[in-house]
Amino acid sequence: MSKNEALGFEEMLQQDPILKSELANQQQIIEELKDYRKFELKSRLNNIDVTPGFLQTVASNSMVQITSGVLLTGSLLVGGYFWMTSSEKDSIIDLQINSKSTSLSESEFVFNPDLKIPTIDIEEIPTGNTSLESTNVTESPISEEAAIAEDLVIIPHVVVPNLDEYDDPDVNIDESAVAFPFPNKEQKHVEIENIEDSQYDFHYKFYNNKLYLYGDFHGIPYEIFEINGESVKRLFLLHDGVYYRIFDSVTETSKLQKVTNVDLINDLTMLKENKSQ
Amino acid sequence: MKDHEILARISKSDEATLDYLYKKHYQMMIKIVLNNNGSEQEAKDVYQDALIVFWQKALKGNLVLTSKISTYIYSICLNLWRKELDRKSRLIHEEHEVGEEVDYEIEERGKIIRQCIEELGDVCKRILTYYYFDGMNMNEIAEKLDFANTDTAKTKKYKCKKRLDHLIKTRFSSMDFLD
Repeated sequence: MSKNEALGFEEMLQQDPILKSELANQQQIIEELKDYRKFELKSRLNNIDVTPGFLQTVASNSMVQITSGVLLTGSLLVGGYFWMTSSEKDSIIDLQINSKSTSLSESEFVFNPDLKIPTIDIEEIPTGNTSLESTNVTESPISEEAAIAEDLVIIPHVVVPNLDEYDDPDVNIDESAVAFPFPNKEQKHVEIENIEDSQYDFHYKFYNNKLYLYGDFHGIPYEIFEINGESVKRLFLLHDGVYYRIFDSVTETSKLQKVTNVDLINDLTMLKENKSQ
Repeated sequence: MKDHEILARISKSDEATLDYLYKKHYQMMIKIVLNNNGSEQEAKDVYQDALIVFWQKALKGNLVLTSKISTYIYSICLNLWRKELDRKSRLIHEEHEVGEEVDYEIEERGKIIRQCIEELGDVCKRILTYYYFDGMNMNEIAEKLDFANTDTAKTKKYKCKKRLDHLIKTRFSSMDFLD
């Protein structure tokens, strides 16, 4: 309808009350038709089940939300802890050693002569000034799998006391109580450097995980025993048939201490023989 | 279902999509009213009205959304509820004695019209409501109701409207109310 037509229609409406009434009727019919459709759609929507499901109800509960949040956080923390420590815990051997170490005392320590220690690395080092490369303790030739297989057999004979008690060199140690724990694959071997120094004879010190040996070994080869435990390592030096204990906590130049305990000497000797076989 | 897919389906007058939308956003939308001094029934009414407004606009095909559908419906709900609150506050302060007679006449006429609509056949009701409410053209109505062509839809619509007018005229006369 154009503007002129609309104006003409408006005039007719003003003049003709019947037309005006008919227009109002038609407008109401259209409105009622619209309302009918709207009512129809609303009825349809009313028939839809909008009650929240069990999960929605549970999820909307604030108490449940808090509880589940706490549980989730706890799970993440525990999971994260186990995941972080899995590299240490995945060894069956470690677990078995731990369980035994808590139940047995030092006095119950029994050394098994058949014990095979795969991680004792022995290397003969020539006397005199030796380069760092030539004196480094080498990696064990035994693979981890093989070591685990061997260790599994000998576990029942080994009792592991708390090695941390013997870390202080000033403490009077009962050396027979020192155990030979199983290797920790993450431990690094000690680097060794021999320094000929007339001021010190048969002295040593540790610095930056490196063992410095002072003195003249008179051309007689010495051997270093490195025994790796779960969290600590034990070092012994064999020179001219005499065993010396080396403490990795000694950072000041100190004299090498002879091992006097006969049992320990025997054990070390056997270990040496086993290794060389 | 993504927004563009919803719009495409509604433009084809797919009422199942309306059901889907209603259920999907129900909890979120009724909170608008419930959190603003409304009852659950009022919340439901407002949400349904908002959804129907969206339905009409989407059906016409000229709806350009610059936000998510849920945001759009949310804003309609909000506006409808504000209007309802305004209406309520006006009702409290105004007197309604004037014009009561006129309202009664219109209401009576509306009652008769509704009865006549109910008496129409299902096809007639659908043609007329699709045309006047959904804003569908004859081609869309023909497609929706499986008519042979547009002309068939046009003819049917004409006949249905004529029948409705006739039914109303036979039932309603202003004289009835003057007596």
